Amino acid sequence: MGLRERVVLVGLFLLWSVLAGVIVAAFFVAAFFGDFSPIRFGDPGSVILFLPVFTAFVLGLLLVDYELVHAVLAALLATGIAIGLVLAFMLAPGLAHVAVGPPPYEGAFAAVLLFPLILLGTVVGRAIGERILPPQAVLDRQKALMAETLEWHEQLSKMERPVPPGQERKP
Amino acid sequence: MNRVAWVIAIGYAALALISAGMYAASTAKFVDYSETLLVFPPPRIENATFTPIPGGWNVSLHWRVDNPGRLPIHFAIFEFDVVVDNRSDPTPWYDGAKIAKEYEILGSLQSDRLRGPVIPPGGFIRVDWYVNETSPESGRKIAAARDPVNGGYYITVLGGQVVFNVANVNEILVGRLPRAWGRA
Repeated sequence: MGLRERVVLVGLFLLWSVLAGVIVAAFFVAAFFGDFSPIRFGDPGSVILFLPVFTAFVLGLLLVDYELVHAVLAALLATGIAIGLVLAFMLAPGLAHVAVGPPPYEGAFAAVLLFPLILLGTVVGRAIGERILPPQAVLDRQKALMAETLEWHEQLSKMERPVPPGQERKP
Repeated sequence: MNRVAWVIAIGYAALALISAGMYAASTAKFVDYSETLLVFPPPRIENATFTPIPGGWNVSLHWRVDNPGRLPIHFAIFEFDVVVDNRSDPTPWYDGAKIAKEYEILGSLQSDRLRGPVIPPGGFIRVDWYVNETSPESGRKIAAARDPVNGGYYITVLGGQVVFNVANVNEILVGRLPRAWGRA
Protein backbone atom coordinates (compact mmCIF):
# COMPACT_ATOMS: atom_id res chain seq x y z
CA MET A 1 0.00 0.00 0.00
CA GLY A 2 1.39 3.36 -1.03
CA LEU A 3 1.81 6.38 1.19
CA ARG A 4 -1.09 8.16 -0.47
CA GLU A 5 -3.51 5.28 0.18
CA ARG A 6 -2.29 5.06 3.75
CA VAL A 7 -2.86 8.78 4.32
CA VAL A 8 -6.34 8.54 2.77
CA LEU A 9 -7.18 5.57 5.02
CA VAL A 10 -6.01 7.37 8.17
CA GLY A 11 -7.74 10.59 7.09
CA LEU A 12 -11.06 8.85 6.48
CA PHE A 13 -10.75 6.98 9.76
CA LEU A 14 -10.26 10.25 11.64
CA LEU A 15 -12.96 12.05 9.64
CA TRP A 16 -15.66 9.43 10.26
CA SER A 17 -14.75 9.20 13.95
CA VAL A 18 -14.78 12.98 14.47
CA LEU A 19 -18.10 13.32 12.63
CA ALA A 20 -19.58 10.59 14.84
CA GLY A 21 -18.43 12.52 17.92
CA VAL A 22 -20.00 15.73 16.59
CA ILE A 23 -23.34 14.04 15.80
CA VAL A 24 -23.55 12.29 19.18
CA ALA A 25 -22.54 15.41 21.13
CA ALA A 26 -24.98 17.66 19.28
CA PHE A 27 -27.94 15.37 19.87
CA PHE A 28 -26.90 14.68 23.46
CA VAL A 29 -26.79 18.43 24.19
CA ALA A 30 -30.07 18.99 22.32
CA ALA A 31 -31.77 16.26 24.33
CA PHE A 32 -30.18 16.99 27.71
CA PHE A 33 -30.31 20.80 27.56
CA GLY A 34 -33.45 21.07 25.45
CA ASP A 35 -34.16 24.70 26.36
CA PHE A 36 -31.09 25.84 24.49
CA SER A 37 -31.52 23.67 21.42
CA PRO A 38 -33.12 24.82 18.16
CA ILE A 39 -34.92 21.43 18.06
CA ARG A 40 -37.05 20.09 20.89
CA PHE A 41 -37.42 16.36 21.37
CA GLY A 42 -40.53 14.88 22.91
CA ASP A 43 -38.60 12.04 24.50
CA PRO A 44 -35.01 13.09 25.27
CA GLY A 45 -34.21 9.70 26.84
CA SER A 46 -34.82 7.87 23.57
CA VAL A 47 -32.60 10.30 21.69
CA ILE A 48 -29.79 9.88 24.24
CA LEU A 49 -30.01 6.10 23.96
CA PHE A 50 -30.85 5.58 20.30
CA LEU A 51 -28.78 8.18 18.48
CA PRO A 52 -25.33 7.09 19.71
CA VAL A 53 -26.11 3.50 18.70
CA PHE A 54 -27.42 4.56 15.29
CA THR A 55 -24.52 6.93 14.60
CA ALA A 56 -21.98 4.34 15.70
CA PHE A 57 -23.71 1.71 13.55
CA VAL A 58 -23.23 3.92 10.49
CA LEU A 59 -19.65 4.55 11.60
CA GLY A 60 -19.15 0.79 11.72
CA LEU A 61 -20.59 0.44 8.21
CA LEU A 62 -18.09 3.02 6.97
CA LEU A 63 -15.20 1.19 8.60
CA VAL A 64 -15.55 -2.14 6.78
CA ASP A 65 -12.19 -1.53 5.09
CA TYR A 66 -10.50 -1.46 8.50
CA GLU A 67 -9.68 -4.10 11.08
CA LEU A 68 -12.05 -4.70 13.97
CA VAL A 69 -9.56 -3.21 16.38
CA HIS A 70 -9.68 0.00 14.37
CA ALA A 71 -13.45 0.08 14.76
CA VAL A 72 -12.99 -0.13 18.54
CA LEU A 73 -10.44 2.69 18.37
CA ALA A 74 -12.90 4.74 16.31
CA ALA A 75 -15.56 4.17 19.01
CA LEU A 76 -13.12 5.41 21.66
CA LEU A 77 -12.18 8.45 19.61
CA ALA A 78 -15.82 9.31 18.82
CA THR A 79 -16.76 8.99 22.52
CA GLY A 80 -13.84 11.18 23.56
CA ILE A 81 -14.80 13.86 21.08
CA ALA A 82 -18.47 13.67 22.10
CA ILE A 83 -17.65 14.02 25.81
CA GLY A 84 -15.22 16.84 25.04
CA LEU A 85 -17.90 18.72 23.12
CA VAL A 86 -20.50 18.18 25.87
CA LEU A 87 -18.01 19.53 28.42
CA ALA A 88 -17.20 22.46 26.12
CA PHE A 89 -20.91 23.26 25.95
CA MET A 90 -21.26 23.16 29.73
CA LEU A 91 -18.21 25.33 30.28
CA ALA A 92 -18.91 27.71 27.37
CA PRO A 93 -20.25 30.62 29.52
CA GLY A 94 -17.21 30.33 31.78
CA LEU A 95 -14.88 30.30 28.78
CA ALA A 96 -16.69 33.37 27.43
CA HIS A 97 -16.36 35.03 30.88
CA VAL A 98 -20.13 35.45 31.26
CA ALA A 99 -20.85 32.63 33.72
CA VAL A 100 -23.31 33.47 36.49
CA GLY A 101 -22.80 30.29 38.46
CA PRO A 102 -21.32 26.83 38.29
CA PRO A 103 -21.84 24.86 35.04
CA PRO A 104 -25.23 23.12 34.80
CA TYR A 105 -24.08 19.56 35.47
CA GLU A 106 -27.59 18.12 35.92
CA GLY A 107 -26.20 14.66 35.51
CA ALA A 108 -24.49 15.46 32.22
CA PHE A 109 -21.62 13.25 33.33
CA ALA A 110 -23.89 10.49 32.09
CA ALA A 111 -22.16 11.32 28.80
CA VAL A 112 -19.56 8.77 29.89
CA LEU A 113 -22.24 6.13 29.34
CA LEU A 114 -22.10 6.96 25.65
CA PHE A 115 -19.03 4.76 25.30
CA PRO A 116 -20.74 1.37 25.60
CA LEU A 117 -23.50 2.51 23.25
CA ILE A 118 -21.04 3.80 20.66
CA LEU A 119 -18.85 0.72 21.02
CA LEU A 120 -21.82 -1.57 20.56
CA GLY A 121 -23.05 0.31 17.51
CA THR A 122 -19.63 0.44 15.88
CA VAL A 123 -18.85 -3.24 16.33
CA VAL A 124 -22.30 -4.35 15.15
CA GLY A 125 -22.17 -1.93 12.22
CA ARG A 126 -18.70 -3.17 11.26
CA ALA A 127 -19.84 -6.81 11.40
CA ILE A 128 -23.02 -6.21 9.41
CA GLY A 129 -21.18 -3.92 7.01
CA GLU A 130 -18.81 -6.73 6.16
CA ARG A 131 -21.81 -8.80 5.07
CA ILE A 132 -23.92 -6.20 3.30
CA LEU A 133 -21.33 -3.64 2.20
CA PRO A 134 -18.11 -5.54 1.49
CA PRO A 135 -15.17 -3.38 0.48
CA GLN A 136 -14.87 -2.57 -3.24
CA ALA A 137 -11.56 -4.51 -3.39
CA VAL A 138 -13.32 -7.64 -2.12
CA LEU A 139 -16.12 -7.16 -4.64
CA ASP A 140 -13.58 -6.72 -7.47
CA ARG A 141 -11.70 -9.81 -6.33
CA GLN A 142 -14.91 -11.81 -6.27
CA LYS A 143 -15.81 -10.56 -9.74
CA ALA A 144 -12.37 -11.44 -11.09
CA LEU A 145 -12.59 -14.89 -9.49
CA MET A 146 -15.98 -15.47 -11.04
CA ALA A 147 -14.70 -14.43 -14.45
CA GLU A 148 -11.70 -16.71 -14.10
CA THR A 149 -13.85 -19.63 -13.02
CA LEU A 150 -16.17 -19.04 -15.96
CA GLU A 151 -13.21 -18.94 -18.30
CA TRP A 152 -11.88 -22.24 -16.91
CA HIS A 153 -15.27 -23.77 -17.27
CA GLU A 154 -15.46 -22.73 -20.92
CA GLN A 155 -11.94 -24.01 -21.57
CA LEU A 156 -12.82 -27.35 -20.02
CA SER A 157 -16.01 -27.55 -22.07
CA LYS A 158 -14.02 -26.96 -25.25
CA MET A 159 -11.46 -29.64 -24.34
CA GLU A 160 -14.11 -32.29 -23.85
CA ARG A 161 -14.74 -34.37 -27.02
CA PRO A 162 -18.27 -35.22 -27.97
CA VAL A 163 -19.06 -38.89 -27.10
CA PRO A 164 -20.43 -40.93 -30.06
CA PRO A 165 -23.92 -42.25 -29.54
CA GLY A 166 -24.09 -45.71 -27.97
CA GLN A 167 -20.68 -45.38 -26.22
CA GLU A 168 -20.13 -44.60 -22.59
CA ARG A 169 -17.62 -41.99 -21.47
CA LYS A 170 -14.54 -43.60 -19.90
CA PRO A 171 -13.39 -42.09 -16.66
CA MET B 1 -14.96 1.63 -0.01
CA ASN B 2 -18.12 0.15 -1.52
CA ARG B 3 -20.14 2.54 -3.73
CA VAL B 4 -23.23 2.10 -1.56
CA ALA B 5 -21.07 2.92 1.45
CA TRP B 6 -20.10 6.19 -0.24
CA VAL B 7 -23.78 7.12 -0.51
CA ILE B 8 -24.20 6.34 3.20
CA ALA B 9 -21.08 8.43 3.88
CA ILE B 10 -22.59 11.44 2.15
CA GLY B 11 -25.75 11.16 4.27
CA TYR B 12 -23.60 10.72 7.36
CA ALA B 13 -21.60 13.85 6.53
CA ALA B 14 -24.82 15.80 5.94
CA LEU B 15 -26.16 14.67 9.32
CA ALA B 16 -22.87 15.75 10.90
CA LEU B 17 -23.18 19.16 9.25
CA ILE B 18 -26.70 19.62 10.64
CA SER B 19 -25.49 18.41 14.04
CA ALA B 20 -22.62 20.90 14.02
CA GLY B 21 -25.13 23.68 13.32
CA MET B 22 -27.37 22.48 16.16
CA TYR B 23 -24.41 22.32 18.54
CA ALA B 24 -23.22 25.80 17.59
CA ALA B 25 -26.73 27.25 17.98
CA SER B 26 -27.19 25.58 21.39
CA THR B 27 -23.83 26.79 22.65
CA ALA B 28 -24.39 30.33 21.39
CA LYS B 29 -27.81 30.45 23.06
CA PHE B 30 -26.40 29.11 26.34
CA VAL B 31 -23.66 31.77 26.32
CA ASP B 32 -26.18 34.50 25.45
CA TYR B 33 -28.50 33.26 28.20
CA SER B 34 -25.74 33.41 30.77
CA GLU B 35 -24.64 36.83 29.56
CA THR B 36 -28.20 38.16 29.73
CA LEU B 37 -28.47 37.03 33.35
CA LEU B 38 -25.09 38.52 34.15
CA VAL B 39 -25.77 41.97 32.73
CA PHE B 40 -29.48 42.29 33.60
CA PRO B 41 -29.66 45.31 35.92
CA PRO B 42 -32.39 45.70 38.54
CA PRO B 43 -35.30 47.99 37.61
CA ARG B 44 -34.77 51.62 38.56
CA ILE B 45 -37.09 54.53 39.15
CA GLU B 46 -36.79 56.80 36.16
CA ASN B 47 -39.27 59.33 37.38
CA ALA B 48 -41.82 59.84 40.17
CA THR B 49 -44.53 62.45 40.39
CA PHE B 50 -46.55 63.63 43.36
CA THR B 51 -49.59 65.57 42.21
CA PRO B 52 -52.20 67.05 44.54
CA ILE B 53 -55.70 65.83 43.75
CA PRO B 54 -58.98 66.63 45.51
CA GLY B 55 -58.78 64.93 48.89
CA GLY B 56 -55.21 63.65 48.59
CA TRP B 57 -52.29 62.97 46.31
CA ASN B 58 -51.66 61.09 43.10
CA VAL B 59 -48.40 59.22 43.44
CA SER B 60 -46.96 57.84 40.19
CA LEU B 61 -43.81 55.80 39.92
CA HIS B 62 -42.26 55.23 36.51
CA TRP B 63 -39.84 52.35 36.50
CA ARG B 64 -37.42 51.58 33.72
CA VAL B 65 -36.22 48.03 33.11
CA ASP B 66 -33.26 47.63 30.75
CA ASN B 67 -32.15 44.50 28.96
CA PRO B 68 -28.58 44.86 27.74
CA GLY B 69 -28.43 41.12 26.97
CA ARG B 70 -28.88 39.35 23.65
CA LEU B 71 -32.02 37.39 24.49
CA PRO B 72 -35.51 38.71 25.30
CA ILE B 73 -36.61 38.82 28.92
CA HIS B 74 -40.17 37.82 29.80
CA PHE B 75 -41.18 39.91 32.76
CA ALA B 76 -43.61 38.08 35.06
CA ILE B 77 -43.73 39.61 38.54
CA PHE B 78 -42.34 42.84 39.91
CA GLU B 79 -42.61 43.76 43.58
CA PHE B 80 -41.12 46.79 45.22
CA ASP B 81 -40.93 48.48 48.57
CA VAL B 82 -40.10 52.19 48.51
CA VAL B 83 -40.39 55.11 50.94
CA VAL B 84 -40.47 58.80 50.21
CA ASP B 85 -37.59 60.39 52.08
CA ASN B 86 -38.71 63.09 54.47
CA ARG B 87 -36.44 65.96 53.45
CA SER B 88 -37.61 68.19 56.28
CA ASP B 89 -35.92 65.76 58.68
CA PRO B 90 -32.10 66.11 58.49
CA THR B 91 -31.54 62.50 59.65
CA PRO B 92 -29.74 60.42 56.95
CA TRP B 93 -32.05 58.59 54.51
CA TYR B 94 -30.86 55.15 55.61
CA ASP B 95 -31.76 55.66 59.26
CA GLY B 96 -34.18 52.91 60.29
CA ALA B 97 -36.20 55.03 62.73
CA LYS B 98 -36.63 57.72 60.08
CA ILE B 99 -37.69 55.20 57.43
CA ALA B 100 -40.30 53.74 59.80
CA LYS B 101 -42.04 57.12 59.97
CA GLU B 102 -41.99 57.90 56.23
CA TYR B 103 -44.60 57.34 53.53
CA GLU B 104 -44.15 53.80 52.27
CA ILE B 105 -45.35 52.22 49.04
CA LEU B 106 -45.55 48.45 48.65
CA GLY B 107 -46.43 47.89 45.04
CA SER B 108 -46.37 45.09 42.55
CA LEU B 109 -47.08 44.04 38.99
CA GLN B 110 -48.41 40.50 38.80
CA SER B 111 -48.44 38.64 35.52
CA ASP B 112 -46.81 35.54 34.05
CA ARG B 113 -44.17 34.73 31.46
CA LEU B 114 -46.70 34.40 28.65
CA ARG B 115 -48.73 37.53 29.32
CA GLY B 116 -46.19 39.83 30.96
CA PRO B 117 -44.23 42.48 29.09
CA VAL B 118 -41.27 41.32 27.03
CA ILE B 119 -38.06 43.33 27.11
CA PRO B 120 -36.37 42.97 23.71
CA PRO B 121 -32.62 42.33 23.53
CA GLY B 122 -30.80 45.63 23.92
CA GLY B 123 -34.06 47.42 24.68
CA PHE B 124 -36.06 48.50 27.70
CA ILE B 125 -39.60 48.81 28.98
CA ARG B 126 -41.30 51.26 31.29
CA VAL B 127 -43.50 50.06 34.10
CA ASP B 128 -45.88 52.75 35.28
CA TRP B 129 -47.51 52.40 38.64
CA TYR B 130 -49.72 54.88 40.42
CA VAL B 131 -51.98 55.26 43.44
CA ASN B 132 -54.40 57.93 44.57
CA GLU B 133 -53.55 58.45 48.20
CA THR B 134 -56.47 59.86 50.14
CA SER B 135 -55.56 59.18 53.73
CA PRO B 136 -54.79 62.42 55.63
CA GLU B 137 -51.85 60.79 57.43
CA SER B 138 -50.22 59.77 54.12
CA GLY B 139 -50.98 63.17 52.62
CA ARG B 140 -49.25 64.86 55.53
CA LYS B 141 -46.18 62.62 55.12
CA ILE B 142 -46.02 63.28 51.36
CA ALA B 143 -46.29 67.01 51.85
CA ALA B 144 -43.54 66.95 54.48
CA ALA B 145 -41.26 64.87 52.29
CA ARG B 146 -40.72 67.66 49.75
CA ASP B 147 -37.21 69.06 49.86
CA PRO B 148 -37.41 72.58 51.32
CA VAL B 149 -34.43 73.74 49.27
CA ASN B 150 -34.99 72.43 45.72
CA GLY B 151 -38.65 71.38 45.98
CA GLY B 152 -37.94 67.86 44.77
CA TYR B 153 -38.84 64.44 46.12
CA TYR B 154 -36.30 61.79 47.08
CA ILE B 155 -37.14 58.11 46.93
CA THR B 156 -35.55 55.32 48.91
CA VAL B 157 -35.86 51.85 47.42
CA LEU B 158 -35.85 49.45 50.34
CA GLY B 159 -36.07 46.27 48.30
CA GLY B 160 -38.17 44.14 46.04
CA GLN B 161 -37.84 41.44 43.47
CA VAL B 162 -38.30 40.70 39.83
CA VAL B 163 -39.44 37.28 38.62
CA PHE B 164 -38.63 36.66 34.99
CA ASN B 165 -37.66 34.20 32.28
CA VAL B 166 -35.00 34.59 29.65
CA ALA B 167 -36.20 33.69 26.15
CA ASN B 168 -38.10 30.39 26.19
CA VAL B 169 -35.82 28.77 28.76
CA ASN B 170 -37.96 26.99 31.29
CA GLU B 171 -36.27 28.37 34.37
CA ILE B 172 -37.89 30.88 36.71
CA LEU B 173 -35.36 33.49 37.73
CA VAL B 174 -35.53 35.94 40.59
CA GLY B 175 -33.66 39.22 40.75
CA ARG B 176 -33.47 41.38 43.87
CA LEU B 177 -33.75 45.13 44.00
CA PRO B 178 -30.83 46.60 45.91
CA ARG B 179 -31.33 49.38 48.42
CA ALA B 180 -30.98 52.71 46.65
CA TRP B 181 -31.74 56.38 47.16
CA GLY B 182 -32.05 59.29 44.81
CA ARG B 183 -34.03 62.25 43.57
CA ALA B 184 -37.14 61.28 41.71
